[in-house]
Amino acid sequence: MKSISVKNVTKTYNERVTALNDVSLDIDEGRFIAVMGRSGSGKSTLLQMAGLLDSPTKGSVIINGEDVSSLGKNQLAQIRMKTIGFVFQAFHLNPQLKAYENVMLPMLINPEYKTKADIQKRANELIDMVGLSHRAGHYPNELSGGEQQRVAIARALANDPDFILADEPTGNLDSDNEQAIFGILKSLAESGKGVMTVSHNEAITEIADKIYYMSDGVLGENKK
Amino acid sequence: MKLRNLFFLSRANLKGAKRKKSVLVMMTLSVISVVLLAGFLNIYNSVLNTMKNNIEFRQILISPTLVTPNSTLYGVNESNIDKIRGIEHVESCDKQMYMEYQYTTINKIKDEKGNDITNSSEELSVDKINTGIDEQIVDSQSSVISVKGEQLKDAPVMSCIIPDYAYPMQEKRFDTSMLLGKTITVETEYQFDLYEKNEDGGYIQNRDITEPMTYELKVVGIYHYARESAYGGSAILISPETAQKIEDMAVSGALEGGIDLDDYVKDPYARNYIVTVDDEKNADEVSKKLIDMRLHTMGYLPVDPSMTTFVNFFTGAGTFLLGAILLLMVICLFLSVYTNINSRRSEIGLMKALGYKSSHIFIGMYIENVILSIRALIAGVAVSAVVSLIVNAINSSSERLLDHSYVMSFQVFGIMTLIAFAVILAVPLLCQLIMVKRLSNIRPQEAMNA
Repeated sequence: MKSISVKNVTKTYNERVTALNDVSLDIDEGRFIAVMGRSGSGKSTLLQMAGLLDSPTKGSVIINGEDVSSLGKNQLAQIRMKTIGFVFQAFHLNPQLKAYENVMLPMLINPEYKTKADIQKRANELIDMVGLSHRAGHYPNELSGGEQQRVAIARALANDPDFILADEPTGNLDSDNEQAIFGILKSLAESGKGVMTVSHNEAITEIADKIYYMSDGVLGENKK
Repeated sequence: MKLRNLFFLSRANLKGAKRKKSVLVMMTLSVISVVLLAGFLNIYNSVLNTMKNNIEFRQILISPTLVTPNSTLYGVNESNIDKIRGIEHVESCDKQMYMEYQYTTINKIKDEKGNDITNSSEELSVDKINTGIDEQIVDSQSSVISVKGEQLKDAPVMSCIIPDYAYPMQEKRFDTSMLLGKTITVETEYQFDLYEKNEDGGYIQNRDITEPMTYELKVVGIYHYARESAYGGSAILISPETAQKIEDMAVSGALEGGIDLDDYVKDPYARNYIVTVDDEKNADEVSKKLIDMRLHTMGYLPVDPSMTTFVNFFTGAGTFLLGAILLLMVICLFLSVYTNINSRRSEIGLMKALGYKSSHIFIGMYIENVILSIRALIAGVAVSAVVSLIVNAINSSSERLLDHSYVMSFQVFGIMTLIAFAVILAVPLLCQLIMVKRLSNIRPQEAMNA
């Protein structure tokens, strides 16, 4: 089974600030995991560990059975490219690229795509999947917040990763868009991807398969 | 990763990029500076240095031995010629042909069939031609290359090559190519300078022996007249063999008149000798050594010191200006790269989060600079081409002969363009390399920063 396992991870900054304290977490394929907590509790740090965006001070991260703790930057980048898709609170779309071109971004470095035409075709399929075919040629500043986040989700799916990690994906959205985004993430989990969302939005508790609570770097018990 | 994918991304990133215009302007100005400023600086410097190093400033004349009641000044002879040639900075020491620097008048022109075509058209007017071509020089070093027709060294005896343009005083220059293939009849303005040997071992000059001569020369080639020459008029060049033949004609002509010139022409030391120095700045040193040898030197034509000062100042000031512009460009580009990386931390972090390596991002950013460089090169070269054409046109039509030298050739323009392109490709790369550590240190989690 595909999974991301965070095992006994501690993350300390400048030998003084402990953002994570002996945290363990599994993100399994086909499951929707939510990590909740107030700001500064360490949930984003946990997402960074799981997504290989940062390395733990202690502990290990195992992705699909491989301990990646000792891998170099380039190798981690390669794993991220193929295995993990990210969705950020601030969308982080490239303002110089159109919607479909933003979706193309991760595929430009994937050697599995031989031609630009293949990449473009796949991008358009993903844009269509998130219901934005009619907006594919627009720049991010021409899209609403919800539309931008849907483009970001399409981008996260570009290389067909096993896992989607979302950091406060609805933080900048209204409630209608919130529901729509959570709905998409849920459907991704149902399609077989492992989805982890960090949020302080209680609405997520209705749809997540498993909920964790972070407080002062310590992961609380599974409440669901 | 395919380069064209990075190229696509770089092009897209440049659209609407705030820094694009300022970097483009800076690079374009740099191209213009290198092509125009450095190009013309190079030309001016080259022309002025060539002028300074013109052969007339590097030649010292030694006349035959002169014996006076108080002293003896020696000419070149068998006992000192090797020593003279061995002096440091002396390129050569050769006898002066009697035909060197002879003023001549062209008084007839014949076509290839021998028909007299003198004054048959305005182009073939001898009055006009003589205003611009009035001198014969022996090209004993065969250094002048014909750009049309034959080379002097391959041409038969009694041939000549003439300059491509004649520059008569107070008149506009004219094309001389109408004379190519024609035979001109020239008349020398005065007799040969012959030296008689005295009983005291010295020589005295005798100018009343030979008569002015008239003979024919076939124009076999056209050479590019070096406009940087200080000569007011341009010259007919003949080979040493032709000069010898003309001497022989003078000798036989004199003999027919009952005058035997054997004693004059067969004594190799009854002549002036020309010592040629390798560089004008060494002429003074060589001249002093020749004087120390008590040789009958006639001195040399020194370069005007103000010219040396001017050349040095011009070169220095121009180089300083060019250096200042390039330094400013480097600083501005470095700051641009620095702020570019800093302002795009979040974007760079995102790229890394998506799986891009630092090398991908580095190459992508460099491709952005290359795209800007190419655009700057096109704009810079276009502006430089227009400006240099205007400058060339102004200089070429100037009444001042020397200005005609200050034109930028296509070759120089091409070389400067290549240098400019290399500079605007290399400098951004250098700036990025300096910043590579900063780029590497941007972490993927920067993407999570709003």
